[in-house]
Amino acid sequence: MQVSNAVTLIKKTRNMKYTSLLTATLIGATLFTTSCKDDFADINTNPSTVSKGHLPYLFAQGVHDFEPADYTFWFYNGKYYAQFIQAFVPTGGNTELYNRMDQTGGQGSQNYNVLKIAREMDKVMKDLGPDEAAKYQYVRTLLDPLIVYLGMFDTDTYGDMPFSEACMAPYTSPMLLTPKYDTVQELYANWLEMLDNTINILTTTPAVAQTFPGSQDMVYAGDITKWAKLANSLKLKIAVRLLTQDKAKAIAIAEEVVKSPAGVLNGTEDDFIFNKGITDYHFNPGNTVGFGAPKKEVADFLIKNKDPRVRFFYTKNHFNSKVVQAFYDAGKDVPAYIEANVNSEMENGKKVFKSWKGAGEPWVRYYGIPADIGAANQTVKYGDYFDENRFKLVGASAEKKFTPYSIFQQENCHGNVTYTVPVVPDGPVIQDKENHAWYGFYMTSGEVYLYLAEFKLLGANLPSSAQDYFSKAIEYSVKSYDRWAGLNQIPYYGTTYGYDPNEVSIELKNGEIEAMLANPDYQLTGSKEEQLEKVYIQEYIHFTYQPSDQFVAVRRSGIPKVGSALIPWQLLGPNTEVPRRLEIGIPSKTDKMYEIKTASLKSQGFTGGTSLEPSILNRERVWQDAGAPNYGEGPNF
Amino acid sequence: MLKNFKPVSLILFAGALCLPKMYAETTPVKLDVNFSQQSGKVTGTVEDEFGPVAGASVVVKGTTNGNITDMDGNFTLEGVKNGDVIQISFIGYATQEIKYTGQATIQIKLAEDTQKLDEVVVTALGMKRESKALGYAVTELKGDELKTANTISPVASLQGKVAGVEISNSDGGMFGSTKIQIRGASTLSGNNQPIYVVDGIILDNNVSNGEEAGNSGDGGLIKDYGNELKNLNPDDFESISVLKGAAATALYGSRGLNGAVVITTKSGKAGKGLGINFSQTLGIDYVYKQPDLQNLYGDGAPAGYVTYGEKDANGEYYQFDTMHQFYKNASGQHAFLQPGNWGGNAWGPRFDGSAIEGYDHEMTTYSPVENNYRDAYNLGFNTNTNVSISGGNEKTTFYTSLSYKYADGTLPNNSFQRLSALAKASHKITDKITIEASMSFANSMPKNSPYALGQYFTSNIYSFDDGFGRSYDSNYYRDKYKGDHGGSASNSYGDKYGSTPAHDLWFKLYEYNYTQKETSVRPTLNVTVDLLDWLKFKAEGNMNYYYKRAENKELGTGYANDGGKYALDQYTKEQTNLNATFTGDKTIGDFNVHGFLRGEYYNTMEQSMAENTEGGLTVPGQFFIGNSKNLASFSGELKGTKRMMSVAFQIGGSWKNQLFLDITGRNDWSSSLVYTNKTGNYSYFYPSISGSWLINETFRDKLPEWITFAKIRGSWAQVGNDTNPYYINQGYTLNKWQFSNSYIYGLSIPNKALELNLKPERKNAWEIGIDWRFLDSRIGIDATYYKENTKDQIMEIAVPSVSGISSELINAGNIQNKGVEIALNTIPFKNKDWEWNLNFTYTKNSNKIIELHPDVADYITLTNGGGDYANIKSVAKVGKEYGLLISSQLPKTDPATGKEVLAYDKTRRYAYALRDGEEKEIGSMIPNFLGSVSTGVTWKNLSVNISMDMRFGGYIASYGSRYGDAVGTTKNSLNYRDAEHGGITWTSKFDGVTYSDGYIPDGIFPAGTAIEQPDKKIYTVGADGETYQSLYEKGVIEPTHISTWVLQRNGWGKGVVNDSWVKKLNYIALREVSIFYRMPSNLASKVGAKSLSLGLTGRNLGYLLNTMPNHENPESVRGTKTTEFRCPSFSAFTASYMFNINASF
Repeated sequence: MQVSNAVTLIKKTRNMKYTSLLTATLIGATLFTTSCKDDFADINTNPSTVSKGHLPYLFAQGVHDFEPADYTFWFYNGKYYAQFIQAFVPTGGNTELYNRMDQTGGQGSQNYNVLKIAREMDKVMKDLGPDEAAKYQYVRTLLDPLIVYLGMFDTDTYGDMPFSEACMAPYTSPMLLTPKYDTVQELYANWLEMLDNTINILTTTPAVAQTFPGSQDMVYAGDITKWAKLANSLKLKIAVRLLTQDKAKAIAIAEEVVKSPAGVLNGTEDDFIFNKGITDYHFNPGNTVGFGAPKKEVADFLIKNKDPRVRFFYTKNHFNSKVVQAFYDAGKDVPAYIEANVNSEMENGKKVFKSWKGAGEPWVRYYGIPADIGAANQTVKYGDYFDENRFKLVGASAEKKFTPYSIFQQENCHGNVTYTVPVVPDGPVIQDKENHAWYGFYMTSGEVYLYLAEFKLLGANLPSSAQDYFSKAIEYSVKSYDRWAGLNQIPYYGTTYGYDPNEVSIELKNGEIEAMLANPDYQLTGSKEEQLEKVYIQEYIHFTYQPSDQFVAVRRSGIPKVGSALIPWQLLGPNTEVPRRLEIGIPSKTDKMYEIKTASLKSQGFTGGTSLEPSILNRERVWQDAGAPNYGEGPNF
Repeated sequence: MLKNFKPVSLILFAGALCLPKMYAETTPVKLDVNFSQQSGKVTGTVEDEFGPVAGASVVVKGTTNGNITDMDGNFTLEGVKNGDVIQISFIGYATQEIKYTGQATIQIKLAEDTQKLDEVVVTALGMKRESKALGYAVTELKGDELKTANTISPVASLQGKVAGVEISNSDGGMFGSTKIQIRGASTLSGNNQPIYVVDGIILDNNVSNGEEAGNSGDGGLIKDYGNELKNLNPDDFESISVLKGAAATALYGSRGLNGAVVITTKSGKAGKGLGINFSQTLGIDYVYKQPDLQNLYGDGAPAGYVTYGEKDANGEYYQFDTMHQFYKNASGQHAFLQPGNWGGNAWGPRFDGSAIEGYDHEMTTYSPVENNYRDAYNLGFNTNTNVSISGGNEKTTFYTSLSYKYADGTLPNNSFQRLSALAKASHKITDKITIEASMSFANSMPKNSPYALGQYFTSNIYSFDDGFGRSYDSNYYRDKYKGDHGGSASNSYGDKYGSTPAHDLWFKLYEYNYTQKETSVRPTLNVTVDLLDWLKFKAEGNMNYYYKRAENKELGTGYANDGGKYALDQYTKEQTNLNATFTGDKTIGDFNVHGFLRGEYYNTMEQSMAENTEGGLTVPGQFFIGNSKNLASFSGELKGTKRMMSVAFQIGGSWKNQLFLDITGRNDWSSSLVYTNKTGNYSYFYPSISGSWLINETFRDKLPEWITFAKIRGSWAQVGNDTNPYYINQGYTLNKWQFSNSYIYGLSIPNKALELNLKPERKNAWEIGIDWRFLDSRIGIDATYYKENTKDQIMEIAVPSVSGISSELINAGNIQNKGVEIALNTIPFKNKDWEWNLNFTYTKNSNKIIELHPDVADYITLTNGGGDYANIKSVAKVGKEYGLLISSQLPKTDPATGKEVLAYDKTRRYAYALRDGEEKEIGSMIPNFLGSVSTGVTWKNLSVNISMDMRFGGYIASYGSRYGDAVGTTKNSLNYRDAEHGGITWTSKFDGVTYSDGYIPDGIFPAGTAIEQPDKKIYTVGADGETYQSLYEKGVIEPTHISTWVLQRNGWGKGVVNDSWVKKLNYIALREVSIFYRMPSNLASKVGAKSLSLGLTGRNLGYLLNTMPNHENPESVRGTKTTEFRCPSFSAFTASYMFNINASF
C-alpha cells in the first residue's frame, strides 16, 4: 500500500521538480521495508490452519489414525498370510508360486501414525506446564494401548523397528532424522511398561479432574474402565508372543493380567470394535480384496460343527434353491457337492427341487475350494470348483454365471458394497445397496479368553478352568462376529431379500452357540496336546478377519497340523518353503537410514530384497518366531 | 519484419522509431528535419503492398531537406534540384533512392527489408528495444505467425519456432496443457514453465500434474483443463517475445525465473477511417492413425490359462493350446472372451472369419476390426471468427476486437468455446500527458476433458481383463452400454449388453457431463507524462481477475441409475499490479545514456469453494446438491495470498551505435518469505549486466563486404526468487468426523519440518552469443551459449518418515544448466517473384545436479512411479542429470554370466525373469537435443511453409506398450507367436500337442530350480545355474510359450523394466504445412476489401521418425511437469486442418 501511496503522491505532485519526485518515490519505496512485515506475516499465514494444539482433538486424531489394516494390507500382506496359512485359496486355484510374493504393503510402520500424535501431545503438554498438563493425563495415556497394538502388528512379520527414538524429529535439535532400531525384545519390554503405566493411571483416582470429553472418544465414549481392560488385555497379546522365547515370563504376565484390578475384555460390550464416522467406508468397493475362497477343509470344519461364524466369514454361494431349479430346468448338473444337499423329485419328466438336505439353509450355501496345486487345471477331478463353463445359464438376452462356492466377505472390509442377490436368468434385480459406517474388528474378548485358555493349558496359575475359558472364548468370538456382521450389515444379516422362500437369514439364532459348543471338536477333551490343538484351531478360526494375527497364531503353534482330524495342514510343498515373514526391500543407498537399516537386517540375520526364495523367508525368522515349530508340526512349548 | 506495424500512422511514433534510440516507445518527439526553400517542388505518395505508408521519411540525400509522409502516405518536398537523389525510408523496409529529374509527382512502392538490421523487439516490462543493442538472446515472433496454428493453447503454437525452448504436447487433448520449458529445468519443483506476460500483466502458467489423472476410480479420465492461458485470443497478438536468459527476464523478478513470454496486443493507429479486420477459420481434427496393433489373432487367454474350449481324451481342457481353443457360450457356440475372464486379451486363434457370438450375444464373424482404436474417435470440427475494428486520430486511438471460437473434440461431449473481447484506447490529454486504458474479457468453456481411451486397447489396465480386443468394433459397441433400467449394463441384472467390454467407459463418455466456465477480465490504466524532453513518468495499474466455475454431473451407473454425483466448484483469483516508472534518455555527443527507476506493487489472492453430493443421488439423474444421499460435503478456503513490493532500476548507455551496456538491479520484498512470527529474509536484491558490440560498425571498412552484420553479446544476471504463499508456515489441520448425531474433531499435525531461516532462491546465469549475418543477410546465424546455476532452492526433501516427519523444508541445491542454442536462417534463393527460405534451430541443454543438501543422502525423488508404474522414479541425484530414471524392477542379473535370472512355474510351465529388488539406474529422461527445420517458398502472393521439429534422446516409459504387449494386442506381441514370426515349433511331451509359439528366454536358472518333467520327475538345476538354452538343448525343458513369457515380463505382478517399453525417444514431427495466398488488391477491392487472403494449414501431420515402441504417439507424456516421463497409455494421432480467410476493410 505504501507504493500506491507513493503513486498517488507522485500523481498529485507531477508538476513538481523531478528531483522531488525521485525523492518521494525513493521514500515511498523504502517505507514498506520496515512497516509491512506485520502485514506480510498475516498475508503469509494460511487462514485455514489451526495454531493451537487442543489435546482432546489430538487424542481423537490419534484414535482416528489407528489403522492396522488399510487397503494395501488387505490387498498385499493380508492376502499372503491368508493363503500361506491355508485359510483361503485363490479362486483360480493354487499354483507352484503359491508361496511367493510380489508387492507388499500396509504393515511395518502403522504405529508411527499414532506415535507421532502422542509425541505432539507430549510437547503440547510440556508447553502447558505440569499443572495444566495434569488435566490431560487420560487423553494422552489412552493412545499408548493403540501404539502397542500397532507396534505388535508391525513387528509380527518385520521384526525390529525404530521406536524409542522414532517420531522425534520435530522435537529435537538438531533433528533426529535417523532413529535407531529397537529389538523386538526391547520393544516388548517397553510396551509392557507403557501398558502398566496406562493401567496404573486409569485405575487410580487422578489428582486433578481430567479433561476427557466422552464425545471425543469414538471407541468407548469416555468409558475409562473399558480402556483399562483393553490395556490390560493387550499384555496377553504380548505374552503369547513371548512364549517361544521366555515361557516363564509369558506365564507370569498372564497371571499378572488376571490379577489386575483393571480386568480384561469380557463380553461384546467391551470389545475393541469401532467405526470412524458414519461415512467412513474404509475403502472403495472397487478395490476388492482378493483372498479368494475359504479352503475346503476350513469351511467344512465350520459347517460340520455348525459354527455360525462360517456365515459371517464368507459369502453365501450363488446356488439358492431357485438357481438350483433353473439349472435343473436347463438340463444342467449342479456341482456334485451342492447336489448332495438337495432333495429333488422327478415330476412330469422334470427334475424339481424339493428341499435342502443335510444341515439345510443357511449352512448348505457355504463351500470352500481345494488347495491342491494346479487343481484349476484338473477339470475331471475339480471341475465342479473351477470349470466356469459348468456354472452358466442362458437367459433371454444374456448369459449368467453362478459361483458355486463361498468367497471372502467384502462387506467386512468396506461399508459401501452393493450386493446383488443371485437370481435366475431374467429374474428380478434385488439389491442391497445401503452404505453404512464400516466397523473395524480389533481386539475382542474372544481373543482374550482364547489366550487365557492357552495359558491355562500351558500351566499358568489362573482362577478358572481351561474349558471355562475356552467355551467362553468361543461364545464371545461368535457373539463378537455376530455383532460385527450386524454392524457392517453384511448380506443376509437379518434378511433374505424375499426372493427364495427356502432361504434363511444368517444372524446368530438362539441356541446355536450351545449346540455348537456341545460338539467334541469344541470341547477340551483328550490329551493335553489335543486340547491345545483345539485352542489353537479356535485361534486360527477366530483370527479369520485378522490375517496378521492368524499368521502369528499358526506360526507360533504349528497348528493346523499335518494329518489332523480337525483341520489338517496340507503339504503343498515342503513346509520349510512357506514364508514365516515377508520380504523387506534392500535399503536404498540413497536412504538416510541406509546404514541403520542394513545393520538391522544383518543383526536379525535377514536377507533383504524381493523375489526371494521362500525357503529363505522360512529360515530367517523374526526374534519372536525363533524356535517355533514349522508349519503343520504342532506346538513345541 | 516490421510490416506488421503497418498501418502505423502515428507519425510521432514512427519518427521515434527511425531514430537510433533505446526506447522507441518512450522517446520524446523530435523532428530533425529542416525545411529550406529551394527551387523544385515534388509531391508523391509512398505505398507498400497494402496501401499508403504514413510516417515514411522522404529526404533529399545529403541534405537536411526532408519531410514525413502523412496519413495517406502523401508528402511534398520543395527546393529539389535536378539531379538530387530523393531517399525514401521507413523502418522495416529497404530504403529507396530516386533521382529527381523534374518529375512533379512520384509514386514509391516500398519493399520489405529482409536484412532486418534495425529490428525492434519487445523486451522485459514491455520495453521496445533495438535487438542489436541487447546483450542477451530474445526471439520475437509476430502474431500472425502463430495464428495459423489455431491451437487453443498459445503455447502450442510456438512449437518448433524458437531455439532453446522445448515445447511438447501432453495427453490432455485439445484444451489440455502444453509443456514449455526454456533452457532446461532450473528448479526441482516440477514447474519450470516461463511466465506469460500480456500487456504487462503476468499470467500464471501452471503445470498439469501427472498424478491427477489415471486413478482407477476415474477409468482413465485425463482431467486436464489446461491453465489460464487458454483465455488468450491469439488474433489480438501483435508480437510475442520469448525472453530466455536470466538477463532478459531479471526485471520480472522472481516470477521470471524460468523465462518469460511477453505478448503485446494490437493497438489502434491513427489513420483515415476505420480499420476493420475480419478473419474466419474453419478446421477439423482428424485421428489419422493408431499405434501398431496386430490384426492376426483374436480373443484368447495366454498359454497355461486356457480353461475353455475342447477337452482332450482325459476330459481336460487344452490348457496351453491358445491357438486352437475358442471360448464357448452356454450353448456351446464359439464366443468372445468375457470381461473378468481374460476379456481384451488377444492370445487366441488366428482370425478365420468363422461364425462367433459377439459381445452382445448376436452372431458375428471372427475377424479383426483393424482400426478399432482409430474408429473410437470422431471427427472434430472447429471454427474461429474474429472481427477487429481500430482507428483514431492524432489525439485518440482505439482498437477493439471480438472473437468466438468453438471446437468439438474427437471424443463425444468434448468441446471448447471461447468468447473474447478486447478494447483499448489511448488519448493525449495534453501534449505531455497520455492516458491509455484497456479492457480484456474472455469466457472459456472447456467441457469434458478426454479419456485415455488407449488404455482400453492395451487391455484395460484398471481392470486387467476387461479391455477391447482386436475384434471389438468401436462403432458398433459404443452405444451398447446401458441396461433397460438406464444404468450401466450388468450380467448380474441379465442385461443384454452386460458383457460388452469396458462399457462403463462409454457410459461415462456419454452420460457424464463436466462443464467448466472460466472468465478472465483484465483492465489496465496507464498514464504517461513527459516531464522533460529527456524524462518521462509512467504510472500503471492493472488487474487480472480470473474466475472458474465448474459443474459436474455424473449419472449413476447402478441399477436404474443408482449412485451418481453432482458437484459445484468455484475458484477466484484476483491479482493487482501498480507500477510507477521514471524513464530517462539523453544523447550527449557520441554517447546515449538511458535508464529508469521503477516501483512495483503486486498483490494476489485466491479463493475456492466446492460442494458435492456424497453417497450417490437420492433421486437418480436429478442434479442438485440437495439431492445428496448423505450430507453433502463442502469446502472453501482463502488461499494463495501474497504481496510483493519491488524497486527496480536500469542504467544503460551506448557509444556511437556500436557499443551497448545495460545494468539493472531489482529488490523485491515478498510476503511469502515472512514467517508467522514476523521474521524472515524477505528482502532480496539482484543485479544484471549485459552488453553488445556491433563489430561491423566498429570495423565497417575493414570487414569484407559479405559480412552484413556482426554482433557479439554477453550478459551476467542474478535472479532472486521467493516461494509459494504459506509454504514456509504451517499449523494443525482441523478434521471432523460425523457420527449419528454428533461430530468428533481431530487435529492432524504437519508432516513437514521447517527451517526457520530460509533464504530466497538465487539463480546466477551468464550467456554469450553472436548474431552474424552474411551476404546481405541471406545467411544469418544466431548462437548462444549459456550457463545457469540455481541455488538455495526452497524445497521439500524427503526424510525418513520414521522420524515423525516426511519432509523438511530447506534451502537446497545447485542445479546447473548449460547449453547451446543456435538459429540458422537462410535464404538460398531469391529473385523478383521467388523467395525460398530455410531455417534451422538446434537446442542442447545439459543439466547437472551439483549439490543437494546434507539431509539428502543421495537423491531427491522428482516423480515417483509407484508399483503400477514399475517403481520407476525420476530423481535428482548429485553428479547426474536432472531426471535420472531409476527402478528397483530391472531384471535381476547373474553376476557370473550377466544373464537375467529366471524362475520357473511348473503348473503353467513358464519361465519368468526375477526383479532385481535393488534400485538401479536406467538413464536420463532429458533429450540429447531438440531441433527444428522450417522452410518456405514464396512466389508473388503465394507462399508455402513447412515446419518440422524433433527430439533426440531421453528415456520415456510407455505403459501402453507394456500392457498391450502383455495382453497380445500390439504388433510387437506377434513376435515369436507363430513360426512365421520366429516361434519355435515343437511337440510337447506333456500333452502331445504341437505348438509353434515357443521361445527360449536368454536367461539363467539359479542352482536348485526344480523343473518338472513329463514323467513328473523333477530335474534340479545344478550348481552355478544353467541357462534356459542349455537346459533346452539337454532336453529337460521345453520352450516357453511366448504369450506367458510376455505376460509375465510386462504384466503387473511380475513385470520387469525392459526395452520393449522403456527406451530412448527420437522423433521428427511434421508439425505444420501451410499455404497462404494474398489476393491481388484489385481482386480484393471487388468485394470491398483493402486486402484479402486465404490460408490452408495442416498441423501435427505425422512423424517422419518415431522410435516409440509400436510406433505410438511420441507426444503422450502425462501432464506437463518437467519431471514426468510416463506415457500412461496409447494416445491418438490427431491431425488438424484449417482453412482461414482474412479480410481487412
